[in-house]
Amino acid sequence: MTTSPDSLSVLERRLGRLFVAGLSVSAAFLITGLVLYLASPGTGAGAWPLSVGLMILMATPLLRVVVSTIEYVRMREWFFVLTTLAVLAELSITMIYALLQR
Amino acid sequence: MANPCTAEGSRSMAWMHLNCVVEREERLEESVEEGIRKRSRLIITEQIGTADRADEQRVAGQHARGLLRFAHDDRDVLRCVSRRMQDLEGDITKCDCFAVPRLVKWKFEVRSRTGDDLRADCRERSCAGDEIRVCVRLDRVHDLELIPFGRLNEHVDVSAGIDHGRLPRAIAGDYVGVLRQAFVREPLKHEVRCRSGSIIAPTLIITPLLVAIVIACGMLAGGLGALLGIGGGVFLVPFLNSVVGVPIKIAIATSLMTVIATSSAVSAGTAGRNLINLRLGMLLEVASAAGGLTAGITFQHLSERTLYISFATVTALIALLMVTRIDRRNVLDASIDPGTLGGRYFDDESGREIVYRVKRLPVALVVSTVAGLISGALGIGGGILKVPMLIAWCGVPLRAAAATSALMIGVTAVASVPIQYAHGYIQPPLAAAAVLGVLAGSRAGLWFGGRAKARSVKILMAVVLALVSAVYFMKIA
Repeated sequence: MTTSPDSLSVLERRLGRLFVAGLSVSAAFLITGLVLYLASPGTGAGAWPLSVGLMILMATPLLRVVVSTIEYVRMREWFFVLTTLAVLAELSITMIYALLQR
Repeated sequence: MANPCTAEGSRSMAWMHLNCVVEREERLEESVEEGIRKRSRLIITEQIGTADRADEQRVAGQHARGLLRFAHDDRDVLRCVSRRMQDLEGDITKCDCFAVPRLVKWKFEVRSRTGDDLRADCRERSCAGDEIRVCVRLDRVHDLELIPFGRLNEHVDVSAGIDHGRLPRAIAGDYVGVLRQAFVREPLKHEVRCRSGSIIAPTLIITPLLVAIVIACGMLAGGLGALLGIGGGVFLVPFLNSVVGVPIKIAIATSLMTVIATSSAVSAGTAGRNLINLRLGMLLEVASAAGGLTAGITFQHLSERTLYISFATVTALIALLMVTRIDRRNVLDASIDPGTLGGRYFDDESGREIVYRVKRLPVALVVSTVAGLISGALGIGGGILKVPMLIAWCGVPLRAAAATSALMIGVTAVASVPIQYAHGYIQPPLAAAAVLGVLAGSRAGLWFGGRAKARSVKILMAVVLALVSAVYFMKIA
Protein backbone atom coordinates (compact mmCIF):
# COMPACT_ATOMS: atom_id res chain seq x y z
CA MET A 1 0.00 0.00 0.00
CA THR A 2 2.85 2.38 -0.75
CA THR A 3 1.46 3.66 -3.99
CA SER A 4 1.51 7.41 -4.36
CA PRO A 5 -1.63 9.30 -5.34
CA ASP A 6 0.12 10.17 -8.60
CA SER A 7 0.30 6.50 -9.59
CA LEU A 8 -3.41 6.15 -8.99
CA SER A 9 -4.04 9.28 -11.04
CA VAL A 10 -2.04 7.79 -13.90
CA LEU A 11 -4.07 4.59 -13.65
CA GLU A 12 -7.26 6.63 -13.56
CA ARG A 13 -6.31 8.48 -16.74
CA ARG A 14 -5.29 5.26 -18.44
CA LEU A 15 -8.63 3.71 -17.60
CA GLY A 16 -10.33 6.86 -18.87
CA ARG A 17 -8.66 6.43 -22.25
CA LEU A 18 -9.72 2.78 -22.31
CA PHE A 19 -13.34 3.80 -21.66
CA VAL A 20 -13.23 6.41 -24.43
CA ALA A 21 -11.81 3.91 -26.91
CA GLY A 22 -14.32 1.19 -25.96
CA LEU A 23 -17.27 3.55 -26.14
CA SER A 24 -16.18 5.05 -29.45
CA VAL A 25 -15.80 1.70 -31.20
CA SER A 26 -18.98 0.37 -29.64
CA ALA A 27 -20.98 3.46 -30.62
CA ALA A 28 -19.68 3.27 -34.19
CA PHE A 29 -20.89 -0.32 -34.52
CA LEU A 30 -24.22 0.46 -32.85
CA ILE A 31 -24.92 3.46 -35.10
CA THR A 32 -24.02 1.44 -38.20
CA GLY A 33 -26.18 -1.46 -37.11
CA LEU A 34 -29.13 0.71 -36.20
CA VAL A 35 -29.01 2.59 -39.51
CA LEU A 36 -28.84 -0.68 -41.47
CA TYR A 37 -31.67 -2.12 -39.40
CA LEU A 38 -33.94 0.86 -39.98
CA ALA A 39 -32.98 1.11 -43.66
CA SER A 40 -34.17 -2.40 -44.42
CA PRO A 41 -36.41 -3.61 -41.62
CA GLY A 42 -37.25 -7.28 -41.39
CA THR A 43 -34.27 -8.45 -43.43
CA GLY A 44 -31.89 -9.00 -40.56
CA ALA A 45 -29.58 -6.29 -41.86
CA GLY A 46 -27.55 -4.65 -39.17
CA ALA A 47 -27.75 -7.64 -36.85
CA TRP A 48 -24.05 -8.36 -36.64
CA PRO A 49 -22.86 -4.73 -36.18
CA LEU A 50 -25.42 -4.38 -33.41
CA SER A 51 -24.24 -7.57 -31.74
CA VAL A 52 -20.56 -6.60 -32.08
CA GLY A 53 -21.29 -3.13 -30.68
CA LEU A 54 -23.07 -4.56 -27.65
CA MET A 55 -20.29 -7.12 -27.11
CA ILE A 56 -17.63 -4.39 -27.14
CA LEU A 57 -19.75 -2.35 -24.74
CA MET A 58 -19.92 -5.30 -22.34
CA ALA A 59 -16.23 -6.06 -22.77
CA THR A 60 -15.08 -2.55 -21.82
CA PRO A 61 -15.59 -2.85 -18.03
CA LEU A 62 -14.08 -6.31 -18.20
CA LEU A 63 -10.99 -4.89 -19.87
CA ARG A 64 -10.87 -2.21 -17.21
CA VAL A 65 -10.56 -4.90 -14.54
CA VAL A 66 -7.82 -6.65 -16.53
CA VAL A 67 -5.86 -3.40 -16.92
CA SER A 68 -6.32 -2.65 -13.22
CA THR A 69 -4.96 -6.08 -12.32
CA ILE A 70 -1.87 -5.51 -14.43
CA GLU A 71 -1.33 -2.06 -12.97
CA TYR A 72 -1.72 -3.27 -9.38
CA VAL A 73 0.83 -5.99 -10.09
CA ARG A 74 3.24 -3.33 -11.35
CA MET A 75 2.55 -1.25 -8.23
CA ARG A 76 3.05 -4.39 -6.07
CA GLU A 77 -0.25 -3.78 -4.32
CA TRP A 78 -0.94 -7.45 -3.74
CA PHE A 79 -4.14 -6.99 -1.78
CA PHE A 80 -5.71 -5.14 -4.70
CA VAL A 81 -4.25 -7.66 -7.15
CA LEU A 82 -6.23 -10.31 -5.29
CA THR A 83 -9.28 -8.09 -5.29
CA THR A 84 -9.20 -7.55 -9.03
CA LEU A 85 -8.57 -11.26 -9.61
CA ALA A 86 -11.64 -12.07 -7.52
CA VAL A 87 -13.74 -9.72 -9.66
CA LEU A 88 -12.30 -11.26 -12.82
CA ALA A 89 -13.19 -14.73 -11.54
CA GLU A 90 -16.79 -13.63 -10.93
CA LEU A 91 -17.09 -12.11 -14.39
CA SER A 92 -15.60 -15.27 -15.90
CA ILE A 93 -18.30 -17.33 -14.19
CA THR A 94 -20.91 -15.02 -15.70
CA MET A 95 -19.47 -15.45 -19.20
CA ILE A 96 -19.23 -19.22 -18.91
CA TYR A 97 -22.76 -19.46 -17.53
CA ALA A 98 -24.07 -17.25 -20.35
CA LEU A 99 -22.34 -19.37 -22.98
CA LEU A 100 -23.82 -22.52 -21.48
CA GLN A 101 -27.29 -21.01 -21.70
CA ARG A 102 -27.07 -20.45 -25.45
CA MET B 1 -94.46 -56.54 -39.82
CA ALA B 2 -92.43 -53.49 -39.72
CA ASN B 3 -92.16 -51.23 -42.64
CA PRO B 4 -88.53 -50.95 -43.78
CA CYS B 5 -89.14 -47.36 -44.62
CA THR B 6 -89.85 -46.65 -40.99
CA ALA B 7 -86.29 -47.33 -40.06
CA GLU B 8 -85.00 -45.03 -42.75
CA GLY B 9 -87.41 -42.35 -41.65
CA SER B 10 -86.32 -42.67 -38.09
CA ARG B 11 -82.67 -42.30 -38.99
CA SER B 12 -83.33 -39.27 -41.13
CA MET B 13 -85.16 -37.63 -38.30
CA ALA B 14 -82.19 -38.24 -36.06
CA TRP B 15 -79.81 -36.56 -38.47
CA MET B 16 -82.15 -33.66 -38.92
CA HIS B 17 -82.21 -33.25 -35.19
CA LEU B 18 -78.43 -33.24 -35.04
CA ASN B 19 -78.23 -30.72 -37.84
CA CYS B 20 -80.36 -28.40 -35.80
CA VAL B 21 -78.04 -28.93 -32.89
CA VAL B 22 -75.02 -28.13 -35.00
CA GLU B 23 -76.59 -24.92 -36.24
CA ARG B 24 -77.24 -23.83 -32.70
CA GLU B 25 -73.76 -24.86 -31.75
CA GLU B 26 -72.20 -22.63 -34.37
CA ARG B 27 -73.76 -19.60 -32.75
CA LEU B 28 -72.62 -20.84 -29.38
CA GLU B 29 -69.17 -21.42 -30.71
CA GLU B 30 -68.85 -17.78 -31.78
CA SER B 31 -69.84 -16.53 -28.35
CA VAL B 32 -67.52 -18.98 -26.61
CA GLU B 33 -64.61 -18.00 -28.82
CA GLU B 34 -65.23 -14.35 -28.10
CA GLY B 35 -65.32 -15.04 -24.38
CA ILE B 36 -62.14 -17.04 -24.50
CA ARG B 37 -60.34 -14.36 -26.46
CA LYS B 38 -61.23 -11.79 -23.86
CA ARG B 39 -60.38 -13.95 -20.92
CA SER B 40 -57.05 -15.43 -21.67
CA ARG B 41 -53.85 -14.24 -23.11
CA LEU B 42 -52.72 -17.38 -24.83
CA ILE B 43 -55.18 -20.05 -25.70
CA ILE B 44 -54.67 -22.67 -28.30
CA THR B 45 -57.76 -24.28 -29.66
CA GLU B 46 -58.42 -26.78 -32.34
CA GLN B 47 -61.47 -28.54 -33.43
CA ILE B 48 -62.39 -31.33 -35.74
CA GLY B 49 -64.89 -30.31 -38.30
CA THR B 50 -66.19 -33.52 -39.61
CA ALA B 51 -68.54 -36.27 -38.68
CA ASP B 52 -66.97 -38.69 -41.05
CA ARG B 53 -64.47 -41.26 -39.81
CA ALA B 54 -62.27 -41.04 -42.88
CA ASP B 55 -62.14 -37.30 -42.64
CA GLU B 56 -61.40 -37.48 -38.99
CA GLN B 57 -58.49 -39.80 -39.55
CA ARG B 58 -57.21 -37.48 -42.24
CA VAL B 59 -57.38 -34.52 -39.91
CA ALA B 60 -55.77 -36.47 -37.12
CA GLY B 61 -53.01 -37.51 -39.48
CA GLN B 62 -52.30 -33.94 -40.42
CA HIS B 63 -52.04 -32.97 -36.79
CA ALA B 64 -49.50 -35.41 -35.56
CA ARG B 65 -49.47 -33.85 -32.14
CA GLY B 66 -52.93 -34.88 -31.12
CA LEU B 67 -53.86 -33.65 -27.72
CA LEU B 68 -56.75 -35.72 -26.58
CA ARG B 69 -58.35 -38.96 -27.32
CA PHE B 70 -61.72 -39.62 -25.86
CA ALA B 71 -62.55 -43.11 -24.96
CA HIS B 72 -66.02 -44.33 -24.39
CA ASP B 73 -65.14 -44.92 -20.78
CA ASP B 74 -65.60 -41.46 -19.32
CA ARG B 75 -63.35 -42.14 -16.38
CA ASP B 76 -60.42 -42.57 -18.71
CA VAL B 77 -60.71 -39.12 -20.13
CA LEU B 78 -58.50 -37.30 -17.70
CA ARG B 79 -55.92 -40.04 -17.73
CA CYS B 80 -55.81 -39.71 -21.49
CA VAL B 81 -55.38 -35.99 -21.23
CA SER B 82 -52.52 -36.36 -18.84
CA ARG B 83 -50.73 -38.90 -20.96
CA ARG B 84 -51.14 -36.99 -24.16
CA MET B 85 -49.93 -33.80 -22.56
CA GLN B 86 -46.76 -35.52 -21.50
CA ASP B 87 -46.23 -36.58 -25.08
CA LEU B 88 -46.30 -32.95 -26.07
CA GLU B 89 -43.36 -31.98 -23.92
CA GLY B 90 -40.82 -30.18 -25.95
CA ASP B 91 -43.15 -29.35 -28.78
CA ILE B 92 -45.48 -26.65 -27.56
CA THR B 93 -44.91 -23.30 -29.13
CA LYS B 94 -47.21 -20.49 -30.00
CA CYS B 95 -47.75 -21.74 -33.52
CA ASP B 96 -48.77 -25.22 -32.57
CA CYS B 97 -52.37 -26.18 -32.89
CA PHE B 98 -53.85 -29.14 -31.22
CA ALA B 99 -55.96 -31.61 -33.06
CA VAL B 100 -58.59 -33.42 -31.13
CA PRO B 101 -59.12 -36.77 -32.71
CA ARG B 102 -61.70 -38.55 -30.67
CA LEU B 103 -63.89 -41.51 -30.63
CA VAL B 104 -67.07 -41.58 -28.70
CA LYS B 105 -69.41 -44.32 -28.07
CA TRP B 106 -72.52 -43.16 -29.74
CA LYS B 107 -75.66 -44.78 -28.60
CA PHE B 108 -78.32 -44.84 -31.20
CA GLU B 109 -81.20 -47.01 -32.21
CA VAL B 110 -81.36 -49.40 -35.09
CA ARG B 111 -84.56 -50.96 -36.20
CA SER B 112 -84.12 -54.39 -37.66
CA ARG B 113 -85.45 -54.91 -41.11
CA THR B 114 -86.47 -58.46 -40.40
CA GLY B 115 -87.78 -58.16 -36.90
CA ASP B 116 -90.55 -56.15 -35.37
CA ASP B 117 -88.69 -55.26 -32.23
CA LEU B 118 -86.54 -52.29 -31.41
CA ARG B 119 -83.15 -52.88 -29.99
CA ALA B 120 -80.58 -50.49 -28.79
CA ASP B 121 -77.11 -50.73 -30.15
CA CYS B 122 -73.96 -49.10 -29.11
CA ARG B 123 -71.36 -48.44 -31.73
CA GLU B 124 -68.15 -46.61 -31.70
CA ARG B 125 -68.40 -43.76 -34.11
CA SER B 126 -66.61 -40.61 -34.82
CA CYS B 127 -68.54 -37.58 -33.80
CA ALA B 128 -68.69 -34.21 -35.39
CA GLY B 129 -65.63 -32.41 -34.17
CA ASP B 130 -67.23 -29.02 -34.07
CA GLU B 131 -69.21 -30.27 -31.16
CA ILE B 132 -66.10 -30.36 -28.99
CA ARG B 133 -63.87 -27.58 -27.94
CA VAL B 134 -60.56 -28.13 -26.26
CA CYS B 135 -58.80 -25.22 -24.71
CA VAL B 136 -55.19 -25.36 -23.66
CA ARG B 137 -54.13 -22.42 -21.65
CA LEU B 138 -50.48 -21.67 -21.03
CA ASP B 139 -50.37 -19.60 -17.93
CA ARG B 140 -47.33 -17.73 -16.70
CA VAL B 141 -45.79 -17.70 -20.13
CA HIS B 142 -43.69 -14.64 -20.78
CA ASP B 143 -46.33 -12.94 -22.80
CA LEU B 144 -45.17 -10.39 -25.33
CA GLU B 145 -41.61 -11.40 -24.90
CA LEU B 146 -39.21 -12.31 -27.59
CA ILE B 147 -37.00 -15.34 -27.52
CA PRO B 148 -34.83 -14.55 -30.52
CA PHE B 149 -32.30 -17.22 -29.78
CA GLY B 150 -31.14 -19.38 -27.01
CA ARG B 151 -33.27 -21.74 -25.03
CA LEU B 152 -36.03 -21.17 -22.56
CA ASN B 153 -37.26 -23.81 -20.20
CA GLU B 154 -40.51 -22.60 -18.82
CA HIS B 155 -42.68 -24.41 -16.34
CA VAL B 156 -46.28 -23.58 -16.99
CA ASP B 157 -49.67 -24.71 -15.88
CA VAL B 158 -51.54 -26.28 -18.74
CA SER B 159 -55.25 -26.62 -18.28
CA ALA B 160 -57.13 -28.90 -20.59
CA GLY B 161 -60.84 -28.31 -20.65
CA ILE B 162 -63.78 -29.39 -22.69
CA ASP B 163 -66.71 -27.23 -23.60
CA HIS B 164 -69.25 -29.43 -21.89
CA GLY B 165 -72.28 -27.63 -23.16
CA ARG B 166 -71.63 -28.62 -26.73
CA LEU B 167 -70.54 -32.22 -26.49
CA PRO B 168 -73.37 -33.97 -24.66
CA ARG B 169 -76.20 -32.62 -26.73
CA ALA B 170 -74.53 -33.79 -29.87
CA ILE B 171 -74.10 -37.35 -28.66
CA ALA B 172 -76.93 -38.69 -26.68
CA GLY B 173 -79.03 -37.42 -23.90
CA ASP B 174 -78.23 -40.34 -21.66
CA TYR B 175 -74.60 -39.40 -21.54
CA VAL B 176 -75.05 -35.78 -20.61
CA GLY B 177 -74.82 -36.13 -16.88
CA VAL B 178 -71.87 -38.48 -16.96
CA LEU B 179 -69.88 -36.40 -19.39
CA ARG B 180 -70.45 -33.20 -17.51
CA GLN B 181 -68.93 -34.78 -14.46
CA ALA B 182 -66.01 -36.32 -16.27
CA PHE B 183 -64.83 -33.34 -18.28
CA VAL B 184 -63.72 -31.14 -15.47
CA ARG B 185 -60.95 -28.68 -16.02
CA GLU B 186 -57.79 -30.00 -14.53
CA PRO B 187 -54.55 -28.07 -14.41
CA LEU B 188 -51.52 -30.12 -15.29
CA LYS B 189 -47.98 -29.15 -14.45
CA HIS B 190 -46.15 -29.13 -17.69
CA GLU B 191 -42.86 -27.97 -19.03
CA VAL B 192 -42.75 -26.05 -22.25
CA ARG B 193 -39.39 -26.07 -23.91
CA CYS B 194 -38.94 -23.44 -26.56
CA ARG B 195 -36.20 -24.36 -28.89
CA SER B 196 -33.70 -22.12 -30.57
CA GLY B 197 -35.31 -19.55 -32.78
CA SER B 198 -38.78 -19.95 -31.41
CA ILE B 199 -40.83 -16.95 -30.50
CA ILE B 200 -43.54 -17.41 -27.94
CA ALA B 201 -45.06 -13.97 -28.25
CA PRO B 202 -45.31 -11.13 -30.73
CA THR B 203 -42.06 -9.28 -31.15
CA LEU B 204 -41.74 -5.62 -30.46
CA ILE B 205 -41.93 -3.81 -33.79
CA ILE B 206 -39.10 -1.32 -33.79
CA THR B 207 -39.93 1.64 -35.98
CA PRO B 208 -37.88 4.78 -36.60
CA LEU B 209 -40.32 6.66 -34.37
CA LEU B 210 -39.80 4.20 -31.52
CA VAL B 211 -36.04 4.44 -31.98
CA ALA B 212 -36.25 8.23 -31.80
CA ILE B 213 -38.38 8.05 -28.65
CA VAL B 214 -36.03 5.59 -26.98
CA ILE B 215 -32.98 7.70 -27.90
CA ALA B 216 -34.63 10.79 -26.40
CA CYS B 217 -35.52 8.89 -23.27
CA GLY B 218 -31.99 7.49 -23.08
CA MET B 219 -30.60 11.02 -23.26
CA LEU B 220 -32.78 12.12 -20.36
CA ALA B 221 -32.05 9.02 -18.32
CA GLY B 222 -28.34 9.18 -19.10
CA GLY B 223 -28.18 12.83 -18.14
CA LEU B 224 -29.85 12.28 -14.79
CA GLY B 225 -27.87 9.09 -14.23
CA ALA B 226 -24.55 10.83 -14.87
CA LEU B 227 -25.55 13.79 -12.71
CA LEU B 228 -26.44 11.56 -9.78
CA GLY B 229 -23.88 8.79 -10.42
CA ILE B 230 -26.54 6.09 -10.32
CA GLY B 231 -26.85 5.18 -13.99
CA GLY B 232 -29.95 5.96 -15.97
CA GLY B 233 -31.69 2.68 -15.35
CA VAL B 234 -33.95 3.91 -12.60
CA PHE B 235 -35.53 6.30 -15.09
CA LEU B 236 -35.26 4.18 -18.22
CA VAL B 237 -36.98 1.04 -16.90
CA PRO B 238 -40.26 2.77 -15.93
CA PHE B 239 -40.26 4.73 -19.16
CA LEU B 240 -39.72 1.73 -21.44
CA ASN B 241 -42.13 -0.40 -19.43
CA SER B 242 -44.91 2.03 -18.60
CA VAL B 243 -44.83 4.47 -21.52
CA VAL B 244 -43.48 2.51 -24.50
CA GLY B 245 -45.00 -0.79 -23.37
CA VAL B 246 -41.84 -2.89 -23.47
CA PRO B 247 -42.15 -6.02 -21.28
CA ILE B 248 -40.55 -5.43 -17.92
CA LYS B 249 -37.77 -8.01 -18.30
CA ILE B 250 -36.71 -6.68 -21.69
CA ALA B 251 -36.82 -3.15 -20.25
CA ILE B 252 -34.61 -4.25 -17.35
CA ALA B 253 -32.06 -5.98 -19.57
CA THR B 254 -31.97 -3.01 -21.97
CA SER B 255 -31.51 -0.69 -19.04
CA LEU B 256 -28.61 -2.76 -17.73
CA MET B 257 -26.91 -2.33 -21.08
CA THR B 258 -27.28 1.46 -20.77
CA VAL B 259 -25.91 1.29 -17.23
CA ILE B 260 -22.68 -0.08 -18.70
CA ALA B 261 -22.60 2.79 -21.20
CA THR B 262 -23.26 5.35 -18.45
CA SER B 263 -20.55 3.83 -16.30
CA SER B 264 -17.95 3.99 -19.04
CA ALA B 265 -18.94 7.48 -20.18
CA VAL B 266 -18.99 9.00 -16.69
CA SER B 267 -15.77 7.27 -15.66
CA ALA B 268 -14.09 8.55 -18.82
CA GLY B 269 -15.34 12.07 -18.03
CA THR B 270 -14.23 12.11 -14.40
CA ALA B 271 -10.92 10.28 -14.90
CA GLY B 272 -7.89 12.29 -13.87
CA ARG B 273 -9.72 14.50 -11.37
CA ASN B 274 -9.12 12.15 -8.42
CA LEU B 275 -12.86 11.88 -7.88
CA ILE B 276 -12.89 8.12 -8.50
CA ASN B 277 -11.75 6.09 -5.52
CA LEU B 278 -10.18 3.18 -7.42
CA ARG B 279 -9.21 1.15 -4.37
CA LEU B 280 -12.55 1.42 -2.63
CA GLY B 281 -14.37 0.84 -5.90
CA MET B 282 -12.46 -2.33 -6.71
CA LEU B 283 -12.92 -3.71 -3.21
CA LEU B 284 -16.65 -3.13 -3.26
CA GLU B 285 -16.89 -4.58 -6.77
CA VAL B 286 -16.05 -8.01 -5.37
CA ALA B 287 -19.29 -7.87 -3.41
CA SER B 288 -21.46 -6.14 -6.00
CA ALA B 289 -20.33 -8.44 -8.83
CA ALA B 290 -21.24 -11.45 -6.67
CA GLY B 291 -24.68 -9.95 -6.18
CA GLY B 292 -25.00 -9.22 -9.88
CA LEU B 293 -24.02 -12.74 -10.81
CA THR B 294 -26.60 -14.18 -8.42
CA ALA B 295 -29.28 -11.90 -9.83
CA GLY B 296 -28.36 -12.81 -13.39
CA ILE B 297 -28.78 -16.51 -12.70
CA THR B 298 -32.09 -16.11 -10.85
CA PHE B 299 -33.53 -13.33 -13.03
CA GLN B 300 -35.56 -15.53 -15.35
CA HIS B 301 -37.33 -17.14 -12.41
CA LEU B 302 -38.59 -13.88 -10.90
CA SER B 303 -42.21 -12.95 -11.54
CA GLU B 304 -43.15 -9.54 -12.89
CA ARG B 305 -45.11 -8.73 -9.73
CA THR B 306 -42.04 -9.47 -7.60
CA LEU B 307 -40.02 -7.11 -9.78
CA TYR B 308 -42.63 -4.36 -9.51
CA ILE B 309 -42.84 -4.64 -5.73
CA SER B 310 -39.05 -4.69 -5.39
CA PHE B 311 -38.65 -1.69 -7.67
CA ALA B 312 -41.26 0.38 -5.84
CA THR B 313 -39.96 -0.50 -2.38
CA VAL B 314 -36.28 0.08 -3.14
CA THR B 315 -36.82 3.46 -4.80
CA ALA B 316 -39.07 4.62 -1.94
CA LEU B 317 -36.49 3.65 0.69
CA ILE B 318 -33.65 5.36 -1.15
CA ALA B 319 -35.70 8.54 -1.58
CA LEU B 320 -36.37 8.54 2.13
CA LEU B 321 -32.70 8.01 2.92
CA MET B 322 -31.65 10.89 0.68
CA VAL B 323 -34.14 13.27 2.28
CA THR B 324 -32.75 12.53 5.75
CA ARG B 325 -29.19 13.25 4.58
CA ILE B 326 -29.65 16.37 2.49
CA ASP B 327 -27.55 18.67 4.66
CA ARG B 328 -24.95 16.10 5.74
CA ARG B 329 -21.38 16.86 4.51
CA ASN B 330 -18.71 14.13 4.68
CA VAL B 331 -15.74 16.46 4.59
CA LEU B 332 -12.73 16.45 6.89
CA ASP B 333 -9.93 18.93 7.46
CA ALA B 334 -7.45 18.95 4.57
CA SER B 335 -4.53 18.10 6.86
CA ILE B 336 -6.00 14.76 7.93
CA ASP B 337 -4.60 11.55 6.39
CA PRO B 338 -7.38 9.88 4.36
CA GLY B 339 -5.98 6.37 4.96
CA THR B 340 -5.67 3.53 2.47
CA LEU B 341 -9.25 3.58 1.24
CA GLY B 342 -9.96 7.28 1.66
CA GLY B 343 -9.20 10.02 -0.81
CA ARG B 344 -8.78 13.68 -1.57
CA TYR B 345 -9.82 15.84 -4.51
CA PHE B 346 -10.33 19.46 -5.44
CA ASP B 347 -13.97 20.54 -5.25
CA ASP B 348 -15.08 23.12 -7.83
CA GLU B 349 -18.19 24.06 -5.85
CA SER B 350 -16.37 25.05 -2.65
CA GLY B 351 -13.04 25.92 -4.29
CA ARG B 352 -10.97 23.85 -1.84
CA GLU B 353 -9.43 20.43 -1.38
CA ILE B 354 -11.77 17.81 0.07
CA VAL B 355 -10.40 14.99 2.24
CA TYR B 356 -12.43 12.02 3.42
CA ARG B 357 -11.96 8.69 5.16
CA VAL B 358 -13.94 5.55 4.55
CA LYS B 359 -15.89 4.27 7.55
CA ARG B 360 -17.90 1.09 8.18
CA LEU B 361 -16.36 -0.98 5.39
CA PRO B 362 -18.23 -4.20 6.34
CA VAL B 363 -21.51 -2.32 5.99
CA ALA B 364 -20.37 -1.08 2.59
CA LEU B 365 -19.58 -4.65 1.48
CA VAL B 366 -22.99 -5.93 2.56
CA VAL B 367 -24.81 -3.05 0.91
CA SER B 368 -22.74 -3.54 -2.27
CA THR B 369 -23.83 -7.16 -2.44
CA VAL B 370 -27.46 -6.12 -2.10
CA ALA B 371 -26.86 -3.38 -4.68
CA GLY B 372 -25.51 -5.97 -7.09
CA LEU B 373 -28.58 -8.13 -6.58
CA ILE B 374 -30.91 -5.20 -7.16
CA SER B 375 -28.90 -4.05 -10.15
CA GLY B 376 -29.13 -7.41 -11.89
CA ALA B 377 -32.76 -8.00 -10.98
CA LEU B 378 -34.17 -4.53 -11.63
CA GLY B 379 -31.74 -3.12 -14.19
CA ILE B 380 -31.32 0.11 -12.31
CA GLY B 381 -27.60 0.04 -11.66
CA GLY B 382 -26.30 -0.55 -8.19
CA GLY B 383 -25.51 3.12 -7.80
CA ILE B 384 -28.97 3.82 -6.53
CA LEU B 385 -27.98 2.05 -3.33
CA LYS B 386 -24.25 2.61 -3.33
CA VAL B 387 -24.25 6.40 -3.63
CA PRO B 388 -26.58 7.00 -0.66
CA MET B 389 -24.78 4.29 1.30
CA LEU B 390 -21.34 5.76 0.66
CA ILE B 391 -22.61 9.22 1.58
CA ALA B 392 -24.71 8.32 4.61
CA TRP B 393 -22.78 5.48 6.25
CA CYS B 394 -19.25 5.41 4.87
CA GLY B 395 -18.29 9.08 5.06
CA VAL B 396 -17.64 9.59 1.35
CA PRO B 397 -18.60 13.03 -0.10
CA LEU B 398 -21.29 13.16 -2.77
CA ARG B 399 -19.07 13.80 -5.79
CA ALA B 400 -16.53 11.12 -4.88
CA ALA B 401 -19.35 8.69 -4.09
CA ALA B 402 -21.05 9.39 -7.42
CA ALA B 403 -17.82 9.00 -9.42
CA THR B 404 -16.78 5.82 -7.61
CA SER B 405 -20.26 4.38 -7.94
CA ALA B 406 -20.33 5.20 -11.65
CA LEU B 407 -17.15 3.19 -12.10
CA MET B 408 -18.55 0.25 -10.16
CA ILE B 409 -21.98 -0.02 -11.78
CA GLY B 410 -20.46 -1.02 -15.12
CA VAL B 411 -18.77 -4.10 -13.70
CA THR B 412 -21.85 -4.90 -11.60
CA ALA B 413 -24.00 -4.82 -14.74
CA VAL B 414 -21.52 -6.94 -16.69
CA ALA B 415 -21.83 -9.57 -13.95
CA SER B 416 -25.44 -10.21 -14.96
CA VAL B 417 -26.28 -8.76 -18.39
CA PRO B 418 -24.51 -11.45 -20.49
CA ILE B 419 -26.79 -14.04 -18.90
CA GLN B 420 -29.86 -11.98 -19.78
CA TYR B 421 -28.45 -11.54 -23.27
CA ALA B 422 -28.13 -15.30 -23.60
CA HIS B 423 -31.70 -15.75 -22.41
CA GLY B 424 -32.91 -13.42 -25.15
CA TYR B 425 -33.97 -10.46 -23.04
CA ILE B 426 -31.84 -8.06 -25.08
CA GLN B 427 -33.32 -6.75 -28.32
CA PRO B 428 -30.23 -5.35 -30.08
CA PRO B 429 -31.93 -2.46 -31.99
CA LEU B 430 -33.77 -1.34 -28.88
CA ALA B 431 -30.65 -1.66 -26.72
CA ALA B 432 -28.57 0.21 -29.30
CA ALA B 433 -31.04 3.11 -29.39
CA ALA B 434 -31.12 3.32 -25.61
CA VAL B 435 -27.31 3.11 -25.32
CA LEU B 436 -26.73 5.83 -27.92
CA GLY B 437 -29.22 8.09 -26.17
CA VAL B 438 -27.62 7.47 -22.81
CA LEU B 439 -24.14 8.20 -24.19
CA ALA B 440 -25.33 11.57 -25.48
CA GLY B 441 -27.24 12.38 -22.29
CA SER B 442 -24.46 11.40 -19.92
CA ARG B 443 -22.15 14.07 -21.39
CA ALA B 444 -24.73 16.70 -20.54
CA GLY B 445 -25.18 15.18 -17.10
CA LEU B 446 -21.44 15.37 -16.45
CA TRP B 447 -21.38 19.03 -17.48
CA PHE B 448 -24.25 19.88 -15.13
CA GLY B 449 -22.82 17.68 -12.40
CA GLY B 450 -19.70 19.79 -12.16
CA ARG B 451 -21.76 22.95 -11.61
CA ALA B 452 -24.84 21.93 -9.66
CA LYS B 453 -24.95 22.29 -5.89
CA ALA B 454 -24.73 19.03 -3.96
CA ARG B 455 -27.87 19.89 -1.99
CA SER B 456 -29.88 20.45 -5.18
CA VAL B 457 -28.65 17.15 -6.63
CA LYS B 458 -29.75 15.28 -3.50
CA ILE B 459 -33.20 16.90 -3.54
CA LEU B 460 -33.61 16.16 -7.26
CA MET B 461 -32.63 12.54 -6.70
CA ALA B 462 -35.08 12.13 -3.81
CA VAL B 463 -37.96 13.67 -5.78
CA VAL B 464 -37.35 11.56 -8.87
CA LEU B 465 -37.06 8.35 -6.86
CA ALA B 466 -40.25 9.13 -4.96
CA LEU B 467 -42.11 9.66 -8.24
CA VAL B 468 -40.78 6.42 -9.73
CA SER B 469 -41.74 4.56 -6.57
CA ALA B 470 -45.26 6.02 -6.68
CA VAL B 471 -45.69 4.92 -10.31
CA TYR B 472 -44.76 1.34 -9.49
CA PHE B 473 -46.89 1.19 -6.35
CA MET B 474 -49.81 2.26 -8.55
CA LYS B 475 -48.97 -0.50 -11.04
CA ILE B 476 -49.04 -3.08 -8.23
CA ALA B 477 -52.36 -1.77 -7.00
